[in-house]
Amino acid sequence: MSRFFTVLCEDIQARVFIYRALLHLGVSARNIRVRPYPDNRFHAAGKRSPRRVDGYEVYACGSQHVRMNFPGELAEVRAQSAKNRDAALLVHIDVDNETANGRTVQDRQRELDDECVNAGVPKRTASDPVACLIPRRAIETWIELLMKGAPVDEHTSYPKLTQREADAEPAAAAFAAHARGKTVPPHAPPSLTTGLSELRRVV
Amino acid sequence: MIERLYIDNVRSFVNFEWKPDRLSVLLGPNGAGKTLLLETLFALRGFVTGAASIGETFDELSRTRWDSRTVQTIELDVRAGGGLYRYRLVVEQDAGGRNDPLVASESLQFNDVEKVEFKTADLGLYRGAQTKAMPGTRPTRSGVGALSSIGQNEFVRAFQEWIWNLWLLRPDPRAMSARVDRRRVARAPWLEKDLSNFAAWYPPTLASQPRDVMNAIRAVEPALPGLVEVRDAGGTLEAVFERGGKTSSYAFDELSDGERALIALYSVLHVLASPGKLLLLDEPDNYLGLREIQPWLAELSDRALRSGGPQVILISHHPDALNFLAPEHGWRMFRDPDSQTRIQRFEVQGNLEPAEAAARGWDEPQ
Repeated sequence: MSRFFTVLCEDIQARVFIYRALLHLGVSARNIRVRPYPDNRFHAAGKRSPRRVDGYEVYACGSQHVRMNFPGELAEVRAQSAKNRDAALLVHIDVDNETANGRTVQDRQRELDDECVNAGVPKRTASDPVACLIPRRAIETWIELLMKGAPVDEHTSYPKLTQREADAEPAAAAFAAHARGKTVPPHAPPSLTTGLSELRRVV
Repeated sequence: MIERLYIDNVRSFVNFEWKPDRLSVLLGPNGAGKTLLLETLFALRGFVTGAASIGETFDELSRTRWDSRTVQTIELDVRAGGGLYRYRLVVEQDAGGRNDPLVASESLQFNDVEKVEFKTADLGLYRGAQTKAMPGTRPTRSGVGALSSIGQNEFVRAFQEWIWNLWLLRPDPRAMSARVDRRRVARAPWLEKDLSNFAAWYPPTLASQPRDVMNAIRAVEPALPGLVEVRDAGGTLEAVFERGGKTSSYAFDELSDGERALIALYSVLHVLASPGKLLLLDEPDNYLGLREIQPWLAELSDRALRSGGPQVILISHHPDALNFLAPEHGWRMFRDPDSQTRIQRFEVQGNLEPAEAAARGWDEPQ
C-alpha cells in the first residue's frame, strides 16, 4: 500500500497499537509518520493531579495534544489530497469516561469537531481520508478484548502494559485482520466496532 | 537487563547511581558523560569476559581527577537467568600511578543466596563460611569471568552469558569497507563498535541467521528501492538491485554513507535486537535521512518494549529521535564544569517539543 499515513495519538500504547496494525495491513513503515506525543509517564504515575476539562476529570495531557493538533493535521491531509498525494490521517483519542453516564465516543468526536470550528478549519466529512479511533474507556479496553476474547465493559480501567507496550502486538494484528476481513470480534464493545469501521475508511 | 548501575570514582562519575528502563534514551550536552557511561559498561564487559586486564580497563587516568581516593567501585544489578544478580568490582589504584591497578575485590551474588567473592589479599573464593583457594586467579583479571560454571558455580553461567551479549555500537559508514575476510566465513567475528568490519560479519551471519538477515534486507528495501540481496561476491560484499528488469551490483563501499548505514543498522536491528541482549547505541542515527529515522527507531523501540525483549540504551542528538522517544524514555545527563555527572528523567514542562526545549536549554535543572 503506497498511501502515506500520519498518526496523531495520545500515547505510546496507542502508537504501538496503531503502528503495528498498519504494518499488519501491509503499510510500509516508511509510509507511516507518527506525530510525537507528549510525556504521559507523570500522569500515569499520579504525580500530577488530574485536570478538569469540560466538566470531566481527565489526565488531559495526551488528549489535549490530540485535540490541539487535530485541526492542523486535518487541514494538511486535505491540502496533500488536493495535490493528488495519497495521504490519510489516523487519529486516536481515548474517551476516558469515569462513569457509565460519562463522556461517549460521540462526545469525543464532537470535541474534535469543535476544535476545528475554533481553528477555522471545516469539520471532518465523510469524504476526508481521516479515521478517528476513539476507544471507550481507553485503548487498553480494546487490547484486553482483542488479546483475551472475553467480554469487556467500557467503564472498567484495564491494566496498562507499562514498559512492555509492544506486548499488544497480537491485539494490533487481530485489529488489522478484522479491518481487512470486514469482521467484528465476538463481544466487541461498541467503540471497537465503530473503530473498525473508521479504519476501513482509510485502508 | 540492568536494573541498577553504580559507578564511583571513574572519570566524571562520583557516587553515580542509575536505574535504567528497558528502553532508555540518553540526552544532554556534550561532555555530560553519555558516551562515557556506555564505554564504562563496555569496558566492564571486556574485563569480565577476559579480553582485558584491570589495568587495560580502568587505568590510573580513569580516576576522577578531583577525587583523592584510590578506590574505584562499579556495581551492577542484572536481571537474568530467572533471578537478580548483584555484581560488584572494587579497583585499587596505585596512588603514585607507578604500579598497575589491582582488583581489590570482585563479587557476584545471585538472589541474595549464592555468592562468589574474590579478594586480592589471598585470591580466595568465598562461598558462605567456606573458603577455597583459587589457583590461577590473578588480581589483575576477573575471577567471575574465569570461573567455571560447572558444579557448585552453575549460577554464574547466566551472568556470563548476559555480559557476553552486551554490544556497543557507534556506526561509522565511512569506516565500513567491502572486503570480506574469507578466512573467517565460518563464524561471525565480533562486530566492531564502528561496524568497520560489517562486511566480514555479514556473510557468516547470513549463513547462521538467514531469516533475520533477509528480514533486515526486506525492511531496508522501501528506502533503497530494488534492493534484493546483499552478498559475498568473491571476497567483496556487494548490494544487488533489480530495477526495471535489470540487475545491477554495487560493492558495499560504492554505496553512499547513508545507504551503508541503513543496511548495517537494519541488520543489527534484526540480528542483535533480540531477547537477552543489551544494546548500547551511540548516535546510530547520524547518517540517516530524516524519513528513515522514525521507522528504525519504532522497530527498535517495539522490540525493546516486548516482555523479555532486549534492553536498549541509546544516545541521540537528533531532533526527530528526541521528539519521538524522549517523552516516554528520555534521561537527561548533565554536569557542571569540573563536577560530577548527574542523571534525571527528561521532563519538559509546557508545550515545546523535546528537541526544541533541549535546544534552548530549557530542559536543564534550575
